[in-house]
Amino acid sequence: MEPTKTQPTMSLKGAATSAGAARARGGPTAKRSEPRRDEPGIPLNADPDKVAEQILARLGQGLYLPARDLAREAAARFPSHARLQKLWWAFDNRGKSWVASGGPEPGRAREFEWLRHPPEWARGKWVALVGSEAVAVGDTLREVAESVRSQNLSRRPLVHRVD
Amino acid sequence: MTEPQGLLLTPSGESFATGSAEYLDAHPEIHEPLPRIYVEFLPEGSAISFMALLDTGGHYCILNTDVIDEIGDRLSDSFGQTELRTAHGLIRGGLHIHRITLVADMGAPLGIDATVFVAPDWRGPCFIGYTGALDRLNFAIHPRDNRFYFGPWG
Repeated sequence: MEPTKTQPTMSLKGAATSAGAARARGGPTAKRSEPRRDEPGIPLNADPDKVAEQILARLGQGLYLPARDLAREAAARFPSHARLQKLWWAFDNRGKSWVASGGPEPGRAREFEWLRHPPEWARGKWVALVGSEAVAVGDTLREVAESVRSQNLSRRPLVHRVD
Repeated sequence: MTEPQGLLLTPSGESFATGSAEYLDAHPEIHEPLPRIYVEFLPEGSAISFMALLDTGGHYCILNTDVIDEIGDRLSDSFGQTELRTAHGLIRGGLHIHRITLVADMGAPLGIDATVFVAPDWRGPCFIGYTGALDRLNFAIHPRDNRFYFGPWG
């Protein structure tokens, strides 16, 4: 049950019991080992929007793992809070990759060779390459992308900006 | 549909990598004497593919502003603003979820639901960092052949 907003606000720092409670209920924290000693828990009356900001603030401070821990716990505590669920989804790396449709494509050896030694005229330009051929060149990616779309090429080009 | 065979296997015989691609070890946009690992990727919503620097010490998938423009409306709404320390200083941007595909020249391509950091004026190269992107797949590097192997997990 989510807390009411009439309850007094508590600092996130120092409250260490809710992680265990969340684990007892299952959810994202259920597979964790014991929390780290310095890990702040989420107080019972926490405002979920403020918890989301805490997670983002930790990220901004470069504290990725503490941010991930808080996001995991918050997702378990507030299962109907869309933003916290999305934040946890962004941290949770399970099941986020799959074999995509389509098979292998021809290698890019010729494109790479071109990029290793680009001609002088390409400096500062966006270039679309198919093999060693520049099929579109422009000052902006938008310009190059439009040119590529208009050409009905047999192969998807590799597009790059050359300095 | 038949499961693709693994190009690399774990010691227990399970598939580790289902696709592979040659990578570029130098970047014409960055004049530095050290080799790097640049791989081809296709952002969902784009008809063209790009190069991104693999950064196992970095966060998120960071896309150049022009690449973001190319994706256009396909980019999901940001679910939060944060800051990121980079070699170019502190940059502020939004976090999004976006699908990218690692293009394969052996085996099968790999789709990833990546956490993407979008800074309004990021004109530098695209990055595929560890957290939010590379931590979602199996990967291996074969430096002798400049080859990047990848496969799904989880």
